[in-house]
Amino acid sequence: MLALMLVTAINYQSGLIYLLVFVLGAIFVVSIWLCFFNLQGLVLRVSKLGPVEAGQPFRLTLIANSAGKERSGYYCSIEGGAEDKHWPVEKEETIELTGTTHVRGVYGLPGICVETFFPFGLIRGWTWVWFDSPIVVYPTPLESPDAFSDADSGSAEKMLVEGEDLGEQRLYQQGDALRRVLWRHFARRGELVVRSPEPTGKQRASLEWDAYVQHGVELALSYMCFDVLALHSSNAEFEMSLPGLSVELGSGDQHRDRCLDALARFRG
Amino acid sequence: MSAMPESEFQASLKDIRSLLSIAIALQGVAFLSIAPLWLFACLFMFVLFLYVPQLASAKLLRNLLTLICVALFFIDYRLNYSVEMASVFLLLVGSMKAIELKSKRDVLVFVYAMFYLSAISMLFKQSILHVVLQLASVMICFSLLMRMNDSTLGGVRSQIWRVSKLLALALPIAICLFLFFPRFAPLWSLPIKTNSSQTGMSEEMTPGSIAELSQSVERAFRVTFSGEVPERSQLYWRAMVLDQFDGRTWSRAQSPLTFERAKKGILFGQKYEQFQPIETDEPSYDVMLEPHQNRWAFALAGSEPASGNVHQIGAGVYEFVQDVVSPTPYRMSMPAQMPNIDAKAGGYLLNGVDRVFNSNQDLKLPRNGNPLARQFVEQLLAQGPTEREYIRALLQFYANNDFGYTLRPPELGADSIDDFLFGTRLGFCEHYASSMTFLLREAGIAARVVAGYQGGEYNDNLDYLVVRQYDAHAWVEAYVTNIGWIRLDPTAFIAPDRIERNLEAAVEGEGTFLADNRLASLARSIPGLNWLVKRGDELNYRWQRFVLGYGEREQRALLKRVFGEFKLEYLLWTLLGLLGAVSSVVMLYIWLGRYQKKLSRSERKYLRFLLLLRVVGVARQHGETPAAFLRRMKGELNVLSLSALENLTNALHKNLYNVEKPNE
Repeated sequence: MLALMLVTAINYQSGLIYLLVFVLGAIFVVSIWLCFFNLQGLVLRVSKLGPVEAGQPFRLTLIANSAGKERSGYYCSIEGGAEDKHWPVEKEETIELTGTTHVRGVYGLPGICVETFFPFGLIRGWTWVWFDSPIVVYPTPLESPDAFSDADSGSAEKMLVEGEDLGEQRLYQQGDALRRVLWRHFARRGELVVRSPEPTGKQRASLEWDAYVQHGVELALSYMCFDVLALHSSNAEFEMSLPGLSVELGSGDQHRDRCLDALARFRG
Repeated sequence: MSAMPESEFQASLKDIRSLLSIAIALQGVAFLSIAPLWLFACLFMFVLFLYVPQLASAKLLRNLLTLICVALFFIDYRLNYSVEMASVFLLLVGSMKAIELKSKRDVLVFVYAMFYLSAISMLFKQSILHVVLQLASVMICFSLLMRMNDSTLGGVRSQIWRVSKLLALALPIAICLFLFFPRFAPLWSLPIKTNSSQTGMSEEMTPGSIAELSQSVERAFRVTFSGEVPERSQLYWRAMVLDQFDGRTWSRAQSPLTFERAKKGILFGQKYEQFQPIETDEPSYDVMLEPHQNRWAFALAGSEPASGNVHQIGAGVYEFVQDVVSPTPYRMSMPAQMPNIDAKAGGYLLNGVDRVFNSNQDLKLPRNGNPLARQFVEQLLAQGPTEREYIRALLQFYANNDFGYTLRPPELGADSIDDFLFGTRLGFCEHYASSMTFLLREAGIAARVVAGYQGGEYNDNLDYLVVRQYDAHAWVEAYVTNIGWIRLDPTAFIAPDRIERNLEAAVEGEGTFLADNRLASLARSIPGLNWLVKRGDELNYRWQRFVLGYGEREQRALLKRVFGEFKLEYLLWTLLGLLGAVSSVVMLYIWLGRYQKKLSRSERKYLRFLLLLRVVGVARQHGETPAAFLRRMKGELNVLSLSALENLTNALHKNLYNVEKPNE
């Protein structure tokens, strides 16, 4: 396009067309820099890359900090091309990306392509970002035919239902969660009483490799995984042991993730 | 770029249609004087289609409109190629794209069409105004692309602002390139054809044609002299010789003209020739010619071409190889002062006006008509005068018989020479030139009418002479045996003011100067406006000289001034060096805080007031909130400043936290 115009300028010896060509050319060049500096200095951080179930696409949450500059839109995509998203960036933005599916195991996060077409869509500025964060793919949870903890989980449920009255009670202290306050008690007697933070009926369980291994490695892992998730959702305390590795007693999200990590990494 | 689904694109189309319409409207304005009327109706329809999606989605309607436009175009232009036709076609087709945009690609096509349109329109329009319009169009197109690409960047206006900032960054680079990019010779032959109407002189002269021209204040050309400026009465700018008379109209005889052109090898329109002036110390003059859509160049008799683009053909006529469609510079050597061979007859000897091929073209007259004039010639010849005596007698006849000079001559009948000489005796230069040439030829003296301009207005500020259409003039050249061609101007006898001063002075009593051109005469009568017109002309002069006229020669001169001599390497090194320097500055500017966080109005006002308070000696402490600062200031400041501070603090709080009063 510009070359055609330049030839026109040369052939007709037109100073004005020369000038126009140079103005357009200069704008083009400046737009290359603008494109480059639209990405330059952008700070990307992995915010969340949760353990992902085998066969499910993983989800990645990135935090983009524009480092004090006003930036125009850019596109992020995961290698293997899952999703393209477009962000008008204020200061800090959350970017959610969905990746591909994997079988059980631990993988490196594939490269993230960040690209921009600012300002005119004529030039593509892009970069690849590789993060150290691994993707932990835990086995597909399958319910065990052994129905390991039917009775126990039943009693656990019962205990939870009765929890409000049966739990240990003590006087309210600063810092206690408001939802633990027994408001009925407060209405009757006028004193703030809270349930003990640890319900008495909390279930303890132990997941032993030997109990599962008769189904074969992958199935055993799947069954164990199901139980880990079930125990976690019932807020139970549990420990887990695999050959050469064990996770001690604990509960909560981090504990669950530790268990899933162990399941993902297990090489039988 | 990630492909955008069409539905999403259609939604974003709403966002950009105002920019599309502005782009189309801008080009419409730029082409106001060139494009036919129907085109504007078409452009209007395109814009309407943009705004009424129901219309655009009806495929039949769209096709119909397209068909009508194309049909109108072919009816109007047929296939007469010219640059204007090409650009009008580009404008039509480019704008038509606006009603069938389906993807980003289509927008890109539209933008490219507009860019190229900007370029080729500059082939035939070079005014400052046109360039400003085209620049605006380019910026709108870029805004369009930017908006297309990222619609989160605020409103249309802020978009245009962004693009202007970008343009400001790009301009220094563009100027470097413009100054030092090496200029090449034209690559191949591409004659420009335009179909814009001729301005100024025509190749024919009938009674009244020059008088008509004298109503125009348009510029014909400008001259800068390297040496002394000749006297005004010597400034006869010859354009062409009118040597064929049919009883009423003088025109250029075609066969000698063709022969003379062929002899010079410039018969056919050839490759555009560059200015390429010859640098000498001999006095010369540079002419900047306004486009007149013809081939002739204006020059003083006896000048020699001193630049590569002008050629001298027979009878002292100078021509370009192509029609002049854009402001064109050329250089001529200054002719030697020629002696006045007969002060009484006002005759100046000329050289360099001989014909290449000696025909008797300068003696030919129609066989019949004008019996009285012929009889009059016979009477004069009966006394057996010499050629010079005869010429003197003719001039005396004009001087002694109450001939009048007027811009509104009465109508003449079929025998126009007779009617004028022995009837009305009121006429303009063309009447005098025409009748005198007739009388000379009838007496067997070779003579011809010369058409051109006489005089000009000198601008003392910038030292140039500007010649306008109302300086158009016609005079006589006669061949006196053993002496040569002499210039005779009967008008000088009837109305010396025309030659000594100007046309305005010559017809002062009549009040007809620019009488038909109310706007121009109004402009001249208001002193302020007149001043403005003059400054405008100077601006235009600078524009033509330094922007339009900037080329290889100026590049060489510039480098010579810096390095002492010109070498292509110097040029390239200068270009690269400057580009590097300018680019790094621009890049640094983009890198370092191109975007500062923008403070709101109330924040800016508040901070500015704090600066003022510092002068008084109070400052807000580090970490002190505006509310706390206000409390502390109570009792410290005088009432006036305190209330001002209070107002500003409230405004700040209202703006930041959207509350009427700050929370205490």
